[in-house]
Amino acid sequence: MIAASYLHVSDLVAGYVRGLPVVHGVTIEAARREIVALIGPNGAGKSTLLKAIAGLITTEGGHVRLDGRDVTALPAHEIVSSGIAFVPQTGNVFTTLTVHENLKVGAHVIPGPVSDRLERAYALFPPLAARRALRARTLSGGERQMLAIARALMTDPTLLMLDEPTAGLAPRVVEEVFRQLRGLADTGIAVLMVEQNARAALSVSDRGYVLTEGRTRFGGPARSLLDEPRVAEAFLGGRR
Amino acid sequence: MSAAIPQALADGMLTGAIIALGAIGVTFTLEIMRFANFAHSELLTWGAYIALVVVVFAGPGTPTGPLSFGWQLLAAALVAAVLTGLAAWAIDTLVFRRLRRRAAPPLTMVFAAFGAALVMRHLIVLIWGHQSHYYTRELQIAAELLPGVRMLPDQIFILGLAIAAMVALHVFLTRSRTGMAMRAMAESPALAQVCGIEVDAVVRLTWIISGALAAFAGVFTGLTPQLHPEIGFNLLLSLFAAAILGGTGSLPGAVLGGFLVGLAENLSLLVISPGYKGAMPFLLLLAILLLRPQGIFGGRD
Repeated sequence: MIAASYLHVSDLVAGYVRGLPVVHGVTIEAARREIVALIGPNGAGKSTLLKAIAGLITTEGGHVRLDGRDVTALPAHEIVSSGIAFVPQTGNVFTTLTVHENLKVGAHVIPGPVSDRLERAYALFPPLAARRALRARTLSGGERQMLAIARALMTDPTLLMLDEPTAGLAPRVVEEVFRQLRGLADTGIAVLMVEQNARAALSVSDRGYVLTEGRTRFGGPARSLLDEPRVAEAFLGGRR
Repeated sequence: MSAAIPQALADGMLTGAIIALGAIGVTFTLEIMRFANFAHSELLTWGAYIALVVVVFAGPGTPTGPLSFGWQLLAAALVAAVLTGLAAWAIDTLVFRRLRRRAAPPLTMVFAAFGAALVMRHLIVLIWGHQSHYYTRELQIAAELLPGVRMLPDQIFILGLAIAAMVALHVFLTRSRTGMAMRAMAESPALAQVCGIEVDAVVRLTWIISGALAAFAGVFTGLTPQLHPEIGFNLLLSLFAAAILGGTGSLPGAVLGGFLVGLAENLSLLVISPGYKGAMPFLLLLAILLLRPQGIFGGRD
């Protein structure tokens, strides 16, 4: 498992203000074709960890390696070019731009024409094709999430990170999002997601990590976390 | 009085085009840099005087056709646009960027802008003095475009050039990769960064475009008919009224706002004494802030 790991985060220390880290030495891994769920209580540093990997906040220690290449604390645009895509939880589409423009901005770091990528995105998410000329502010919650994911895929990432991709979505849409993520992982992408809905997230994931107070508390195959009594009691709302 | 309306409309369009060019920069800084740059009007003055330097050395050129100037003045305007754009960026690097990095509150940015404006204006006074200057002293005969509407050939030319510049900018913002990155940054710098847009590069470009358009506005103001150290400052309120009227962050908004302010100023002359003309942008600003604070094109969810 370790040998196959594609993303390797070791002892990462990061936060919004230098000297006041929120993530205190987290070590996680993700392989390609794998969905990895990060769960844990509010304020555990899950979102902060994703932002640190994406190069959006200050990293004060530790390493992020992608396919053996050290990408720790690179400027955000270089991290995007290196194959990491990030879908933030809120404000993850440009509401004043059209669907089509959102996708084009998603391909900002790709030199040359991107029309084939645009067509691919519409093929993957047909509802977006019908709305390509509309401003993103007119989309429903599920469609916005679709657009946010499609936007992130424009760079052909090898690691896709999502911060609570199902927050606020109807149960039927949640299932659809998870199904899409499974499909993406099957194409060879490593998927790393933060989820509040821990039980549902672990059931679609291959691996999971439990974070508390900025540290990794448990980690392992998703199934074993689901069966782990301490995890179940503390984070999954009791045993089942 | 009604016979004077067509002429006031024509004059208002000309003033409006110049205000719009300046207001575009104001709306960009409001939206992308997120502060009210009260030094923006001084970029108009700088642009006008940089062109004056070129004209002093190269001459305004022999009048081309009915115009009072030759290609030299156009070249001077281009040089002024480039240099003013770079100056705008330099001022950002020297003053505003340092404050942004320290997460300065908006009020600090506003006062810094006022400070920068004073320094910029008085630098002009120091070098060229308070007196008026002219690019050219050629006399022009106004052409009667429509019955009762007279414009100088220079004015018609300026109106056309200003509109062409705005159309070009619109095409750039909606069609080009960089233009789209600017619009993305205007809505959400955080998400723009997630998309791999280099924030510093967009900021630099925003200043250069804003400064270049301000320089054009300054040269056009100086051409109709003279320049003095307050040409930018006198337009300050009009620029902000136009930007806010259109809804900040919107290019069509700033353009429409510019024309509306220009028309309002000139039409008001039909009923009030010219001494009160300066109050028109104030009144418009008050009205828009009370009635539709998000501006005509403003408003997002």
